[in-house]
Amino acid sequence: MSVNLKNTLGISKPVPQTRVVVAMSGGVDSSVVAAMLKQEGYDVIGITLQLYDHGFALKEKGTCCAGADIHDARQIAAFLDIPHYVLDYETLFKQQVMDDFADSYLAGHTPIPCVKCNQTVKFKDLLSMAKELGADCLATGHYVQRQVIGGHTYLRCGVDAQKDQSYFLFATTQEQLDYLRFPLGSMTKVETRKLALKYELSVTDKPDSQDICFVPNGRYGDVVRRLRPGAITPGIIRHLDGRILGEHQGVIDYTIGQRRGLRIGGRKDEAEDNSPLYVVEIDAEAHEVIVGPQSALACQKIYLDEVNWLFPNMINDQVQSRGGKDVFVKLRNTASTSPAKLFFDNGRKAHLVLEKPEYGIATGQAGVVYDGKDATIMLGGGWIISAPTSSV
Amino acid sequence: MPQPIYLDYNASAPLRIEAVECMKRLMGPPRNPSSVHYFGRNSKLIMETARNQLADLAAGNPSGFIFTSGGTEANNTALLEFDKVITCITEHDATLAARPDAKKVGVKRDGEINLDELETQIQRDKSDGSEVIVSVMLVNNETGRIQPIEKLLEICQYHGVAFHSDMVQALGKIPVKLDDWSRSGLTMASFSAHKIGGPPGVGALWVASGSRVSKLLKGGGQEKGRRSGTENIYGIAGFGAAANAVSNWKNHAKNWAQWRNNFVSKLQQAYPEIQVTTRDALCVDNTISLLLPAVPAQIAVISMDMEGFAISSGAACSSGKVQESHVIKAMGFNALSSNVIRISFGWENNEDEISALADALIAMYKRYKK
Repeated sequence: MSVNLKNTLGISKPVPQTRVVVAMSGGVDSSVVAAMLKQEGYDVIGITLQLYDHGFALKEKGTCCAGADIHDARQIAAFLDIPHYVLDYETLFKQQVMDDFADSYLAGHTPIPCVKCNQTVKFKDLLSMAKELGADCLATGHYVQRQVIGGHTYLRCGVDAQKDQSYFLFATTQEQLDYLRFPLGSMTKVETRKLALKYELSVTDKPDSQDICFVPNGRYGDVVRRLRPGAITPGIIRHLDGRILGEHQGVIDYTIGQRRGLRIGGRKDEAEDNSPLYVVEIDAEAHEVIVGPQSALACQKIYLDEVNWLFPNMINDQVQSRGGKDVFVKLRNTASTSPAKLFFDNGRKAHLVLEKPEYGIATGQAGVVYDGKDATIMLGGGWIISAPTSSV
Repeated sequence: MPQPIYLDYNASAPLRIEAVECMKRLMGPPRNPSSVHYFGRNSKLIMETARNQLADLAAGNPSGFIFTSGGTEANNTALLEFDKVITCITEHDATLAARPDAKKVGVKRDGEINLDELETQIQRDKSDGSEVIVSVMLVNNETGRIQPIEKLLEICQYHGVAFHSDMVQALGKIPVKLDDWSRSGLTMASFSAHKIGGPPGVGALWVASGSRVSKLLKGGGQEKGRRSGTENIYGIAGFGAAANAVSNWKNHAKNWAQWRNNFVSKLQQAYPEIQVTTRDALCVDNTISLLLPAVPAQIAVISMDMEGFAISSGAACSSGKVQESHVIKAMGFNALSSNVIRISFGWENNEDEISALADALIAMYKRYKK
């Protein structure tokens, strides 16, 4: 008999002796993960993170620190008869995620707090907590797949293309990936809900979360204003050609590529046959929002910093790809992948040259790289620090 | 997994067998003590028996006890209608949140209320003719610290202000002498059944004769018009039976001080930096508030749960989140306030269990420190 017999989580231990920590948010996905693993007979421990004062998000003082999601998670854990703990990461989350979110908007960028959260709180602190509890792995409800091929652990897109979350996991390190498990990666959301029904979970019909957790109604500007009172300065909205078209209440309300809600009275571009105007540049220092035609958003070269790579053979790749490595890239979560050449620069920097220009690339978002031969294999990425447009 | 060892009596004690038996016997017949008929009379008798049992344990006039839904309701009722409330920064939330406008007097490093500060505050609050009440707990739920009740009474009597004490954690652990203390100015005291082995959801407010009390719940005028609502008779009977059973508390508590000392010495031998937050101050013997400089409380509590020991960090939100303790913070522990755990034992424990916890804590500490 082979001593390397592995269980469904890829661990060489009998199922009942394999301890798994499940990161439970109180939503359907992670609840199903906990239920599935418990059903299989694993030694499951649920952990839920208290990340922010729920009263802050609801603008209500005196509400319980925890939102309904935490109570849902506790209820599911009790129903599944698994140990469950709520960990307080409020201070850390405020420092590492919320403050960064506010400062990033103030600097004219468009941040992705969910990546920062994965990078810091979830895959650093929660992961080490799981290890402290003697767990063999940490399972989450992300729709991505983890595959071991030829001794290398790959991170692939989730089978459900609509739900794929690989974009948000670009900063996952190889070491973290070795310890992580994503049991929903091979399933569709419909299948997940069916399983929730089968396991009679009370959260079966709970709607998917759409927003950033601490911005429940999508009004991120309100949150930035509460985090940084007094730091937001009104300014002017200027056309690329120099004309002043109106005023704004703070650059934080604008994102590169934004067309709607510019607060310039639906004014069209007179010079260019009445075509719509887009935000083409945000000058946070001068408190100016620059608008122009769509063509001014065209961007073909993207600079990345703080890159993280999951290439199986990084050094070879770097050496052999002096002329640029053929890859696919995704420049925002909702975009599709497009072909590009990847160049490794000094330090933790890199740049991408797109085959065809793209429009409305915002700094602060991530440039996520997929394999040039198989666009379902995610190979890492970096934060977009610069995406020069034809207008500049 | 074997049944975990329970060392969190200050959160809630196991239900005493005497309370279980007593409540079981009563269940079935209709039990409205206000009814005129046989069933009503019988229920009334059960209520009054319980009141006498509680009175015996707390050495207070039975008619002073108003049964409530618990310690929280008792504290809220006590403080409801006074113009000004002066309390202590380390009180339970059932006091602090009952009167958010209360002035909070600080504590010394060992958890004792700052008496000079209290006196100054009384003088200030009384100066405009306001009706003032001072509310200070007899035993702190997180640290076990015993507050100097005689001195507190002396100060309040001298200044002619009312004095309420949350005695929830004192009953069954140290002598409670309501009648004696009322002669020195005690106005009201709060109690809770589930801390002494009665059922949760029942408590009492004791009011010294001649003192008036506010009505939090208005309605049918039960409890001599002082607390309306049909009485929780099973709970009240269970409370009485537990009080009766706990009256020999000195017997099972006689070794507690020894257990506590041995536990602390064992830990300090392994890691001298581990400390009792109250140091050598006067505390109830069943409670140990322990500072683990290298391990956050949430990790200690979770690790111990995984190993079969039920302990706490003293302050848990209803979400189950372990949060920084306002009590420990007020004692000046600052950044280390999140590194304090609470061990509280009781009549079902033995020294082997407490010693086993010490071993598990030492092993965890070693793991975490490296």
